[in-house]
Amino acid sequence: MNEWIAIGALALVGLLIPLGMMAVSYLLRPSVPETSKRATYESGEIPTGGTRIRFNIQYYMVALLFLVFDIETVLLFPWAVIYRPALESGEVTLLEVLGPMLVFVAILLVGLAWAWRNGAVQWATSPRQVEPEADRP
Amino acid sequence: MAVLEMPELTALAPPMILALTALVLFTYDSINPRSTNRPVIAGVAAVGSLASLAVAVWFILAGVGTPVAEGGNGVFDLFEGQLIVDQMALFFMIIVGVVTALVSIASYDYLRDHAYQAEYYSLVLLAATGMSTMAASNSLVTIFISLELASLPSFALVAILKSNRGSVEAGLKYFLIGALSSAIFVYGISLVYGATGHMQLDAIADNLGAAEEMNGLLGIGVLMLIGGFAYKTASVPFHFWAPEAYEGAPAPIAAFLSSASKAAGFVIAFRVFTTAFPLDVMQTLGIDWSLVFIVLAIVTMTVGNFAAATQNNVKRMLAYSSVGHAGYALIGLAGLTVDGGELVLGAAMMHLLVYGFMNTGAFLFVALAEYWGVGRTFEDYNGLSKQAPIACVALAVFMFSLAGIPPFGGFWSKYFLFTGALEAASANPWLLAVAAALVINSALSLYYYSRLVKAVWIEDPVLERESLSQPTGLYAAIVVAAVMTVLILPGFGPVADAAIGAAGAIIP
Repeated sequence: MNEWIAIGALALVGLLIPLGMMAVSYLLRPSVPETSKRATYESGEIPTGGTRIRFNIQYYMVALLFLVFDIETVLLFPWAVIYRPALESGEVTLLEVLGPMLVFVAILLVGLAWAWRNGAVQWATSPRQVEPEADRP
Repeated sequence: MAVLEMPELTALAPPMILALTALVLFTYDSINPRSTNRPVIAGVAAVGSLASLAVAVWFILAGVGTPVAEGGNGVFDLFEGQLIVDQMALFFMIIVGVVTALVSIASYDYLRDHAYQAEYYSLVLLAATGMSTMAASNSLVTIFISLELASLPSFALVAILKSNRGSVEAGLKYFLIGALSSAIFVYGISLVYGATGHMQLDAIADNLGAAEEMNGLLGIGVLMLIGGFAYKTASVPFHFWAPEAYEGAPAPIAAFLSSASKAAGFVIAFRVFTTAFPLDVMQTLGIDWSLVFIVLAIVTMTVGNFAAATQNNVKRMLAYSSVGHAGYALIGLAGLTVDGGELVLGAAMMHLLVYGFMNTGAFLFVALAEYWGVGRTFEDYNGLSKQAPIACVALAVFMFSLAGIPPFGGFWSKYFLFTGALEAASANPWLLAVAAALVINSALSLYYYSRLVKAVWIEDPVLERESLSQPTGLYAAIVVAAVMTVLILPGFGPVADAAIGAAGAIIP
């Protein structure tokens, strides 16, 4: 018997279970159409405003800046682990171990300084904050 | 000789100079945020790209990358073969340097009222760094990373005219198709890795024998890699982004993408298929990729030229013509045979160098027309020669060279492609069809190229124009490109030697 048959059977069962549940509940449930069932559910609160709110672009900027430090850590960590053994082995000089990492961090610092100077971390006030009631219905 | 004792890392000087220049621009912009001091910013970018170009030319003349057996300084193999600096790498670094320098100089005038000066030039230089590194990449990992380094700034550059709907739309389309083809490309890399167990190109070639039972997997992987290259070089089946992106992008960026980015796409295609997948081994595995390239070359040049012939918009016409030229350069891969092909591969490299001058020049003329604000269609260009004779002489040179008329550089590279294809046809008769397609398409292309020359020189203007200004930077870049398109003719001997030598070095 081909071992793929077992995988095929598993896939079939995986498909049948949710379909069967939906079919059973369709057969058993009472049908009470009501307009309030169509309303947006906000944890029991009465929904206010539309769902199409614009998010501040600054969240995106913060995520991008986080990426700078994230990548820095990913490379710094393995480097820090081998740093001392590499020096003690005596096969590489301090410059060869430390130099590339300093250059790497310096390049990232240039990017961070540029973003900082160009206002990426300056939390802009959105029009909504300035005039809280301006664009509410 | 001094070059002989240099540390290995200095062999990567051309891309490193580009990266350093980008960092200098970032630092300048950090000290003076939103500076619009155009002379300093454009000057730094131009000096940096010219320095990178000069170092690459010096290296190739000093014999860096030439094997020691041929009297050179040896091929530089860095980081366990992840990067390699050989003749072909330097040859393409020169192309990237030339185009970047021309574009930086021309952008000085084009960006006169632009708000993001330093950002623009540093993105151009970062993209050029990626393209220059692509030339030296010798592993699928470094190829993919440098390809992304070249692509990501390009997306932003296409959309840099933030208040222009066409530019933003073009940027989005370019980005979406780029993301799709990057996904296909990286999936192809994973399949090749799965079949051979290696990323480094020479190691892939050594382990192809072990891939015997997985040649289906390998074949799909190779096909997906071809998809990725087709996107970067704007060839069929991933060519449709090109007219949209070039039309919406600022014209200097269209020049940059259609010349440097295309050349960089070809260099990785050349290196991957000659180094990692030698034709003789692949044919025993049943994966004959030269057939794929024969079909792609014929279809690409035909689609590009026929579409270009029906355009009314000059920039779209040039965009489709650049698709057609990608088809000509694909002959370099289509014409490879088991025991030869230096001539045809070298001819494709020559064509990309000449194309770097003539196509950049042609797009920069469009940039000049956009600078004047004369309009976009052929009719709008009518009678420009009365106001700007020098630029229009240059335009005529570019157009006739693109069409392949004898006195210009474009003729010689097409001639070499043609003879190379005929020579290879003794081993593979399908190449006769490729050679025929090359001649027919060149004849057709003369129609639409000469239409533009006729509009500029013979037709009378539709509307009366006031006298047009003569922006120094744009004029300088156009004139230099035109002079080089002509001057490359007497200098064609050494260029051809360099290209054929570089091609011979990578063919096993």
